Amino acid sequence: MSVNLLPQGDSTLALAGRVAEQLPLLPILRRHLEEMATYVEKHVAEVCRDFGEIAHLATMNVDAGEAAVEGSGNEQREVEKLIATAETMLERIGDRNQRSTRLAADVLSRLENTRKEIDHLKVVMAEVGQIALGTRLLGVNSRIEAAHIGEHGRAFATVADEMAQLSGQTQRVAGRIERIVLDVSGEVDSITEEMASVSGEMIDSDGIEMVLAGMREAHRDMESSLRLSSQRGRQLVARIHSAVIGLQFQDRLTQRMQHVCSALEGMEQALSTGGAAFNGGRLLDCYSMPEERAVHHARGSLAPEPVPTGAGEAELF
Amino acid sequence: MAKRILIVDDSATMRQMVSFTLTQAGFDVVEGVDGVDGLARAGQHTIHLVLTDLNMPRMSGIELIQSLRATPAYRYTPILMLTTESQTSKKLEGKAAGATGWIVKPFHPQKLLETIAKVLP
Repeated sequence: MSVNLLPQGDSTLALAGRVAEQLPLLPILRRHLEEMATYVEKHVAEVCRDFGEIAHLATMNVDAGEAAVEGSGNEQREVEKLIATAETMLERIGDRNQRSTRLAADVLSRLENTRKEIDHLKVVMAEVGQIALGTRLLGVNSRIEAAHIGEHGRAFATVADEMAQLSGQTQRVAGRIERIVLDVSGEVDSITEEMASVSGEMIDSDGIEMVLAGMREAHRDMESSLRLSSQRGRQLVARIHSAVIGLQFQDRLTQRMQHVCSALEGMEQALSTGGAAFNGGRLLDCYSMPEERAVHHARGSLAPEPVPTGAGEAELF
Repeated sequence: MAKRILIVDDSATMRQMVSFTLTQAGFDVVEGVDGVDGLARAGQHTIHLVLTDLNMPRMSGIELIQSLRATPAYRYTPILMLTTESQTSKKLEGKAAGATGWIVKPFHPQKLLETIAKVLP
């Protein structure tokens, strides 16, 4: 492609003078472009390196999270085992509790019956005391009657004495039995009180079961949080990866800047040494990337050519 | 043991991006800044696959491939060209030099890994 640089109404000499004035600017422009390309490459490389380190750290984080989830899975199984064991033990304790409660109720019921029997015994003992008293009175009266009838009543007086002695013995025995009954009654009262107290202190297995269920739920929540964190970490790594790959624009930018620099160099040589005329088509030929070539062909500056292989495409020989 | 891949490109960013993709996929990576450096690296390490750019200072990708193919240790090692060039003439030049395949920049990480998986022994 040739370029017509001659404006209307201007002399060639004047134009050549103006071009000669501008010539020193070309190497400066070229140097600026080269510096710019180097600058962009340096900084994109740094960003790329930083992204790489971030992705590495994120990957380590994901690995740690996954290891924790895996570990948590083992712990979960251990916790489940422990809870199952605790539940079995609780079930046994519950059975024992029920048996103990029933036994305590049975003992309390028997103690109540015993107390009633003791009360009945007290009534009987009172009756025995009354009988002993009646026997004593009978003996006293018999002795009086025996004295009334004189010598004939002597044998009867002997019987009356025996009756009095028997009455005394009966009263003494009744007294001892009453004391024993009182002691037994006191013991029964004490045992009844203690049994009632013990049956009220049975283990609260329902409360322990609730605590175990809470532990299981808390552990599952923790595992779920770890999984979510790991999943988000993986998404982060994927996003970083995508961002890093997106920085490939720099390679294209640098390449195009280099092409422009080469073209500037060629232009400078053509203008200063009077060499071959500057050919803009050479610059367009430098667009080696498929998309860039397609754009320039579409503009009609170059002859159509077969559709090039697209970016990222691979071909094996 | 992880497979080792030699990346040869004069662009530091491209080397880093390719390296990033490959290390994430579990490969060991060795880098060369141009053909001469790439050839030296290939002599220092056991390389299982080479990924090279085409246009580089001192020694081009085509010259690197020719030099590697002349070395017995790299006669059959897969060599992929990763370049912005997509012209048929350039491809034929690469093929004649001994390249195994051709990948056009900008590359898609997944596509790159798939292509590597196809040619890696």
